[in-house]
Amino acid sequence: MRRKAGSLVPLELAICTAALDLRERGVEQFHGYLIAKELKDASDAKLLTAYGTLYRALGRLEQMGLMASAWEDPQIPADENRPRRRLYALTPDGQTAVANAARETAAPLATPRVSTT
Amino acid sequence: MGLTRWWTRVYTAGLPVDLRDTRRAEVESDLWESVSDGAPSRHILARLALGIADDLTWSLTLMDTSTRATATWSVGSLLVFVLAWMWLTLAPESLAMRESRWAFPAASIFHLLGMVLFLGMRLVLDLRMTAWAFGGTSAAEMVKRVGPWSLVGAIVTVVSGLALYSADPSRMAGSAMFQFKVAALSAALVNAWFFHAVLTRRIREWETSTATPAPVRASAYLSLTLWGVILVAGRLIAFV
Repeated sequence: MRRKAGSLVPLELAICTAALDLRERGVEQFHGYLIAKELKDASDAKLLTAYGTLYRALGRLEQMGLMASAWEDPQIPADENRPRRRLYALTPDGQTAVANAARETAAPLATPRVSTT
Repeated sequence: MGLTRWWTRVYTAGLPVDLRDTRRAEVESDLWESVSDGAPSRHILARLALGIADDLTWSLTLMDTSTRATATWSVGSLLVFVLAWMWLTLAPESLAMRESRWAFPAASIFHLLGMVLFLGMRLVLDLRMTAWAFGGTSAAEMVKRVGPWSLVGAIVTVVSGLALYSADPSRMAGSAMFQFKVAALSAALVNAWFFHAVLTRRIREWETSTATPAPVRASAYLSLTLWGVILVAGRLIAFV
């Protein structure tokens, strides 16, 4: 099924919304596992989003310009003795996309026309 | 965790290096975070299993054309192999093959014609790869020209072979020579897959050289041996 140009599938919108929530809590950048946890908590799901589904969606969002990513400074994981994280951040376009989606959801349904005759 | 790492290595194997390394590093980081967060193994396994379809479609979308073609026909061949194997183990006896006057001879003739076409093409290809003959033809050109014809030969041989088998499945399945032939055939098919899917990936680097790389020569010698063995075993089924 082809999606409408510029529209977001539910998972992409959920990721952007979770990223915005994180930003509001002072977390500008996040890695895949963190956003998967946010998504799980937001939806009361039992499982985290699957690896393939999550990273594919993040890749699409980056391609659409709604998300930007960068690998962290290699010194940090070396000091903390863990693998390097790829950190994502919501772009201004991403923020606009969330706002637009929220507006569309909140918009009242068109009033049905009632015949007066 | 090991399974997730292994699967990530598998589906990223045919991707450009930067994409491959990025995805592997990202999954590795995610795994580390999961474990340090105390995520149970069954959750990691579920995340892996539920994402397999996305992994495969993502990987197929980003593969270069030749790798995608290789992956597609590899999966297709595996499917045909599994179906043929199921046919060998489950096929009921075919009355048409036993009682029809022409069915068995026709299947035998097609089996022979298919073999001649397939083995003839395979021989030409293997001789080029062992550097014994056809050194004046580029290896890539040879693969390109011979490939479709040998595929046609293989299909005719396999289909007619399955028809012949269905004439008397219980006797064939019990024949030691038939079992030996099927084992050799399986090995030859794996070798052919390895040649086309793995060894020819860098064919551009040596296509004009008469001295082919050692693994390519080894695969070609193995191919010549195995197809020879299969041919002889096939003829001996009726006598041993």
